[in-house]
Amino acid sequence: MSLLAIFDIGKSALYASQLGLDVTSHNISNVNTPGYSKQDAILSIQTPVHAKGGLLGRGVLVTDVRRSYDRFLQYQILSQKQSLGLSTALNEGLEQVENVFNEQKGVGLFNSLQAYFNAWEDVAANPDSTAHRAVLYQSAVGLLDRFRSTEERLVTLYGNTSEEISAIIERINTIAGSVAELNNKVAQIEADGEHQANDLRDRRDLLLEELAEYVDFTSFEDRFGRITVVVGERNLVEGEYVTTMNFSEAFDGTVSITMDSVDITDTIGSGRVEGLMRVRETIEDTLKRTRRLMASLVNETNLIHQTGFAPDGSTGLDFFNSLTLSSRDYSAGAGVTSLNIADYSLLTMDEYEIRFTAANAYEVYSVDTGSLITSGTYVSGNTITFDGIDVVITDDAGGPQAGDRFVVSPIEYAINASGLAISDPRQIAASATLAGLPGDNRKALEMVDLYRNGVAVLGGESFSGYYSSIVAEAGTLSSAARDSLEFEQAIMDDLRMRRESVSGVSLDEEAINLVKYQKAFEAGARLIQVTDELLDTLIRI
Amino acid sequence: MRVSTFIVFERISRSIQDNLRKIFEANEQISSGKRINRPSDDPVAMSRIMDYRLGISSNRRYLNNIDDAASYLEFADGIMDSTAGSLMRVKELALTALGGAVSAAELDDISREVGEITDHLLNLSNSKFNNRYVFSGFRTDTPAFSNALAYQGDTGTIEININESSRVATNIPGTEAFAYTSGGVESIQLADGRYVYYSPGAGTTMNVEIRASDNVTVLDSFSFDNFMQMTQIMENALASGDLQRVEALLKPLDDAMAQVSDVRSTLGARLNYLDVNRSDNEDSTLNLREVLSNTEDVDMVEAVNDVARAEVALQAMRESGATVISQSLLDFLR
Repeated sequence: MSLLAIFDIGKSALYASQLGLDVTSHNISNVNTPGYSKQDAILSIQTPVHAKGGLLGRGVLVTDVRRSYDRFLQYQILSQKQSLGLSTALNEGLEQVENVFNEQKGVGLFNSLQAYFNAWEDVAANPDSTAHRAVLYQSAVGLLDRFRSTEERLVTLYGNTSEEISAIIERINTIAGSVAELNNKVAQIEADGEHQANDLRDRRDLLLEELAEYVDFTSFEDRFGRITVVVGERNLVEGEYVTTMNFSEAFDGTVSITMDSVDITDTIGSGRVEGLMRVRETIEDTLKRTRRLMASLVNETNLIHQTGFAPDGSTGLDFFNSLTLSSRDYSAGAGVTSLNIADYSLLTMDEYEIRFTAANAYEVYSVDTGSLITSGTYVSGNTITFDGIDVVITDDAGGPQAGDRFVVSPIEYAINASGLAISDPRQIAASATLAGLPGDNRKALEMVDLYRNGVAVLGGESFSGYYSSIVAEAGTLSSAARDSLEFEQAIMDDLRMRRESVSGVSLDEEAINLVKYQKAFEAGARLIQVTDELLDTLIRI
Repeated sequence: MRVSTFIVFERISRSIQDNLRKIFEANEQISSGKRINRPSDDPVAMSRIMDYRLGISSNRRYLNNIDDAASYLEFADGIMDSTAGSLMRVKELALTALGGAVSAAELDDISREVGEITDHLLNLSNSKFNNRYVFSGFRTDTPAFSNALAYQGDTGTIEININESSRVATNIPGTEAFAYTSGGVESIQLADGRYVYYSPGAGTTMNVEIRASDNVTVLDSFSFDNFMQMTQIMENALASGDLQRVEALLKPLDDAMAQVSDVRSTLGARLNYLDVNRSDNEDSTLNLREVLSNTEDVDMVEAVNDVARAEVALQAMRESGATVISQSLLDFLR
């Protein structure tokens, strides 16, 4: 056993302490870095050698720098992030929908509806007063404005969601690219099979956490340390390869997400994307109900107003602009050439779908109830009639095929194309008998009754009752989303705390390590000094 | 559990956030005075709130209507009061004329007074309230009776909503207020043996025939549609000294007064009904306001308490946080 061997032991001590200090300083510098896992220098004893007195230690060996990491916890975090992303998107979106109808802050339609109904009541009480008719006219204008701005806000929200989804998809693709790149690097570094690429893995985990916020996925690691990310049964990332996710918006506003030209929209079940999809459904539903309210109000009012007589001698006039139909064409071989409301009193305010079961047979379904309304044999150019609506479908290129469909809606334009059909307060028909009877208020009373009582096309609810239910529904959804966000957030917080408990850096701990390794370094240096002195002593003999 | 530096900071900042949120929420409630500031704060209560508001707003509407209706009806009642007085005076004058020992000159005077009363009745029947001819039915822009004493209105009754389910007519058409319809032919025998036949014609027309004591020979006949025409006939009869007609008109005069008193009791009944509804309406509004307030208003004491409690917690958190985060082992290593 040579004296020089002590130099080696001293050197190993210095080396280990220095590495310990390296790791400590790395930890300290990353104390605030998101996703960073605390690292430890793993020391072990050098293999001893046989000496005269027995086995003799040969100093210390640094075997690894290892991160404190709980893989199971990380999987839990990923799955919780997905639920949290879903809840966050739902909460944000539904809160905005709710804000459109925040009656407590005076936002919404209730006051305008009230003012409009009250104005009719005033006209009924004072049928001979021009002033009250003018007030009614203005309140009707105000009501339409309110309906329009409500629709506009909902439509804007709807548009925002698709923009947000589109932006998220882009971000997902960027993340996928980075994960693939990191996969490559991790595989290269870990090729020796001994050491883990701690920092790169931390960065990759952080990216996956962000991804989890957007979309639900499953992931697994291969033997080279590369992560495969599966979204909607397609591999978003597989080793170093990425499959790009694509976003598209169809003419009717439906959005779809594709990978490898396979539509995966329906397989996404969580994360922000799914949350936004659900918000879209709610907005669609709310829009539909708001439009139905307007359409019913317009139509029922007109049906009564048409039978009344106005002071200026007019009769048979609509009060509001009459409803117009809209259609959507899901057919390559045929198109709608004429749309017409034949009988306004038969309108149910449902939307309809004309489905072709064969090239010459169609069935008409109500979109709202799902029930079959009518069916028939298709002849190009013939009128298809149902519930007061006449539709003419004509061949354009090859005729309709089985599976083709057309959607017909009496409510889609109800707000957008709304307006007052009368142009002067003197055209308001409050009289039930003759034009120019100033004291006859019976039409106005009929109108007041209409607004007070239930309406069949609103399922027997009154206009204000139906509106209340829209508001209550928006509130219920938003409140549920808020509760569920709180719940998911609490779980997430708990998981993060547990993760931090395992992987977080403690400055106090690192301060101790600092002192520990400093002292060890000083002792190692001292060892070398002592050995040097010993050698000196020997040399001087 | 191992506590990392991140946990320490995170805990403190989250607790501060929690308390700040509590203060913010309570403050929002205090500043708006409302417990429910958006539908999601309590969706069930929200739809009740809207119901209550609807109820209060309709009640206000109905209260206006009740007041409107009451003013029209009270106005009409005043007119009918004057009408009753005028008819009574006509009857007194007729009885004076029939009392005997009345000179031709005196008859002339009486006739002139009856003429003035006819004009007065016409003015009463053409009364306007709120720019509306109140006895013209639906034709509120037309005087009820022309100068030729013909009815120009119709029989429309202007109804007004006074609660969710009932209406009250705010007017009495001139055909009821200033004319009457009798059920069938009536006849009376006068003291001198002659007969008078009263037979209703179309609408409010009343045909009067004076027959000789054989009850066949028609000595005189005339007809009238309304009170004014009736008093005009009286006036003319007095002027020409035709006391026979004056006597024959006594019964229609009584019928007319009975009609006026019928109309007045109808008006009175409607006014009573309005009074009942007014107090119901006010009760219900008071009630609705109370439940609305109970539902949506914040309990101020509780809210202020919440703020105070959160502030205490926040203060404590800040103090302990300041101690925890400002110190580490590094401070003690020299």
